[in-house]
Amino acid sequence: MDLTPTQVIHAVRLGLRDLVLDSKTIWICASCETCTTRCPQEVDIARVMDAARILARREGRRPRIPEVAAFHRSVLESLRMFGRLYELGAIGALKLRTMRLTEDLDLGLRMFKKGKFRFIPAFANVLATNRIFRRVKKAERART
Amino acid sequence: MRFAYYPGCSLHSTGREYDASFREVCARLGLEPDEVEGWTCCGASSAHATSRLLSVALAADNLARVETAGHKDVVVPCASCFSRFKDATHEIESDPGMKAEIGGILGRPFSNSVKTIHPLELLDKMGEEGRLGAAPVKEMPGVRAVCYYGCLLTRPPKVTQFDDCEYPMSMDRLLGRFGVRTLDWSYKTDCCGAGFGLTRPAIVCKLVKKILDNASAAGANVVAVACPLCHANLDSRQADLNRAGGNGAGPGAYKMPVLYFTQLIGLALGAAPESLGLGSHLVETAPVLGMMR
Repeated sequence: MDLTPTQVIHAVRLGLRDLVLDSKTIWICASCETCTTRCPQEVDIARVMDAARILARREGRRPRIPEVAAFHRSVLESLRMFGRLYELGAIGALKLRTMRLTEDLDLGLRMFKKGKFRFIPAFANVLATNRIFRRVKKAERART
Repeated sequence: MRFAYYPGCSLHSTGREYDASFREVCARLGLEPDEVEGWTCCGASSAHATSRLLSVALAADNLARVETAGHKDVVVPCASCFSRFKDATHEIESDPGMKAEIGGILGRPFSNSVKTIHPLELLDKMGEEGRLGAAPVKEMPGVRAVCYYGCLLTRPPKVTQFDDCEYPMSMDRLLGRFGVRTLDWSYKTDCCGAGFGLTRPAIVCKLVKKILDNASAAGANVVAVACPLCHANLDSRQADLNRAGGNGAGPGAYKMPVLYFTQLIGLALGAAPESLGLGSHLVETAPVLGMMR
């Protein structure tokens, strides 16, 4: 974390766009919502982090923690393909994107032995889900 | 009692013990979960980090399915799905333009009338009103559990409206009704690192260590959870912690069984351990069975 949540909020107020959107903090925030819950000024800090991630992506900025952005891409890709998250497929796509192929391989094997993974993806309303993605994109383009 | 049931992706995969034990408990308490037909992913953490509108639309699509099936309530055990549904309902309620926009995106009517309920809320309320349809048949004199609620059930409170956001008690109360002794501790609602298990495992190990060390210091021999991601992190990272030197009490010192609260209730109600998925945990759950009679 290169900026504390307080510093992110200050930087937003000062209009320091690059400092916020090119920070590691916006990608390392786990959205645990503790800051939002406890802020005495009722600033929705977790939502600000979301907004920063959305803007950074929209502006085509290189995410400072690329594997987190790759994780989100892999999850949403899986959703468009199957309508549901196919965990094995999404993990595989993430491993290929980040080229960290052997990290946690032993954990994967132990989970495999315990029958944790589902091998065959479940398909559910794939066309309707893709329609939602398309319509959202269209609505957002019309706005900007 | 019948209600709509949304398991979500994890409960059909890495968290299938949660699905199995929830169904087992429902059967024994006379509850009839009706799985939402054709349910899709709620978007989880990746949708809201990518597009606000997408995150609301993906959750609302499933809430609309619940409406179509004629249910007023949907029970959602996964803390992440629960949080996404609550967020969508709140967002549509508080933003006047959002309802029409979401209706257009879904391409069908949606009145935003469904109430999202967590099984903890459902069962705790039934307990308070003396409507739990079964009493424990097994005693668990040796069990000392700490209840781990995690982040997304309790926060942000104005959206989830779940129990107390700093020191919730509903799981403690509920397990107490089934004869499970629970303890006070300090990490009930701290974060386990969530999805960073796949991208930054070192962060998750650090957070899991703090949680488990506090659980041990409080005298616990079981951690009870209500979220598939919390379960995955707490269960799977203990081997890493042991490889990294354990907790000072010798090698292999981290061996804390992590059970879904539904598994503990199932055991108290006399369900077979296999039907509750106790064999598919990474940390051995057999010691818990030895604490029962």
